[in-house]
Amino acid sequence: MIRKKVCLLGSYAVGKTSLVRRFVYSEFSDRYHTTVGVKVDKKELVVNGHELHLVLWDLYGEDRWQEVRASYLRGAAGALVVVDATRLETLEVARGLSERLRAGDANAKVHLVLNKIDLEGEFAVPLDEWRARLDWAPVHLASAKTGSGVEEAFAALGQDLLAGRP
Amino acid sequence: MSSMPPHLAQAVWAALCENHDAAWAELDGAGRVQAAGGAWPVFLGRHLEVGLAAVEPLPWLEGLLPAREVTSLPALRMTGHGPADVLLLPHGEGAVLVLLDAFQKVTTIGRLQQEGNRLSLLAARLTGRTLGGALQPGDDLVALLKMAVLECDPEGHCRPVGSVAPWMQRFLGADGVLRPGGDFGFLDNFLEDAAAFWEAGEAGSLMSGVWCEGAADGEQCFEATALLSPDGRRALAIERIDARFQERQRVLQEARQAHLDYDTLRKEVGKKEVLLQCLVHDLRAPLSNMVAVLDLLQSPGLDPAKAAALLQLAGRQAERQDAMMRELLAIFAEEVAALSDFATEASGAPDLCAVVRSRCHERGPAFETAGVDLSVDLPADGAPIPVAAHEDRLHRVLANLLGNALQHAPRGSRVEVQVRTVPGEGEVELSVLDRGPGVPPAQREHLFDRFARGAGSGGTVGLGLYFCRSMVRTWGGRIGYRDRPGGGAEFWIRLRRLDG
Repeated sequence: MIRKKVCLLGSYAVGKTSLVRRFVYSEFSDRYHTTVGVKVDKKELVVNGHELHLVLWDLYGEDRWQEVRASYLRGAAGALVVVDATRLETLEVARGLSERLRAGDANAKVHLVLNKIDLEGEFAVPLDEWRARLDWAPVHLASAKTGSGVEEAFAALGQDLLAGRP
Repeated sequence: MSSMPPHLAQAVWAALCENHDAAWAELDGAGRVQAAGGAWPVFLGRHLEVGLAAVEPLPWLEGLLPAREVTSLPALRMTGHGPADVLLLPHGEGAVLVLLDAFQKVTTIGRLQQEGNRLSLLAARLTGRTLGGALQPGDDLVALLKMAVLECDPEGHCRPVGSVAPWMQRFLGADGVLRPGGDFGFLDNFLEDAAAFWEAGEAGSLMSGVWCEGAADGEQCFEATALLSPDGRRALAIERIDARFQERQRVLQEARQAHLDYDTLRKEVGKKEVLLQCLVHDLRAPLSNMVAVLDLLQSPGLDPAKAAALLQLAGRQAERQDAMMRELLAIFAEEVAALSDFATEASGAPDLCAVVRSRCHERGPAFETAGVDLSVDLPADGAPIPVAAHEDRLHRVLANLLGNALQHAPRGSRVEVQVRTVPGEGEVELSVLDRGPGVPPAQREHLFDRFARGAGSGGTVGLGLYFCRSMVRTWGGRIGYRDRPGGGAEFWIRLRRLDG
């Protein structure tokens, strides 16, 4: 069994907790429930025949009221950095958190999740432009609400975490 | 020490009075008030009057006045008012009394003291010392506070001090010891920070921040504190903070929700501005056409046949504008009008088949002009089908669906209107089918929303389908879209039959 710490990072209300709930419990709630502190969950995956045990650190959203502590990122093998497709301002928060994670560990794997793709009519910018702006890591389109792309995003990160293993 | 120059002292005193709720009173040798000023009314001024003894409302002055010494009484609680710093200065035969508001200071000190007490309690628990010489914190008190205290060795292995609460068991190994295990749990991560803190050997504490973990009875939230006792022992306090967590979450949630609501409103206002521009554009276009026609009608030697055609064109433009305005007005009127105004019994209910026949007959010429065939398919028995609806609005719903189909149907194709009973459900389904491009999947969710403007909407404001949904729902019916087999769109509505 291979155990890895994965952080969920991003601005507030981008859907980090919803993505974890969808991935771990196959649940979704439309009600916004802000995260205070850190929620720790676990999920097992099989990647390329390896059993991968993910310890998911769902960190509170960073904003003017809460700043993510650097010590929370320590030991993270990778992160899903989440952006809300309907809020352009969540892009810069995601970029900053990605940089902080890599500053702590240059080998940490970063994957971006463009969440809420079910709200296409409310996108802050067209999808092509989102793709162009999210240029510093692999991007996954997902909707915690419909479940679309969620498993795939976690699985892709899992693949990346085990890259190089036979 | 040199004294402050009088002009400077005056300025300082004025600033104190203005910014700090400071007040003064001059007392004579018998303790009677000679004069008073500053924020005196705030500080029991209503009880002190010039000429009366100050000791009556301020009994703590008794004994201080005869001593004739400079006396300072910090944070004195005064009846009917918050705490004040008191200064009594001998002056001539009498004295000067100075009061400075101390509410802010006392509140801050109180908070710090509370935190200090909490840490003292933990340290006392660890070392077994008495707290303040009066209280011996026992298991019950610590348990009541939902705390657990552990003593840690230099290897980071932590053992509970005293009894262990059931919720604490999750952090302990089979041997009852908490040890760093490299499992990437939150506490494991914090123990690394704690080890660095203990090694540094500095007084104080290090807090972990809040974390939550799933448990059999729901989610449990914790906060840990690393402490170094005066004799160098390492302690870890873990607290269940469910109630405090909820309070913190509530406050943060409200702040963030307000921010999200503000953003939503801002976007909504932006959308409305765009809509307004669209409306102005849509309403202006027919008007411009009419002005152009009127100009042409003034042309000298105009052929009467051409003039008649121009007049017809102007009439159509006027009708178009009128229709748009009526649609807008209807939308707004429907929203404020009582929505219960529709048939709920067979008698007086509109006959769906009759509405379809009538509306399709009226729209026939428009389809013919566009080169689109319009066919109607009704139940073979020809019997009326009374439905829960309002007749005029049902006409308008069908008109909107037909207009939508005509807009997208290619020349030479056929638009079909079908009425089918839904067996066993007491409903009837009306469908309008075309051979246009259909609706892309991405647009379907918001297809019936207000101001939804799909591709090829031709500059319309996007209220037609919204009106249809609004009405059909009001009548207790349903509306939807599906792809038409073989290509094209099918819009359908289901209404309650009222013929039993």
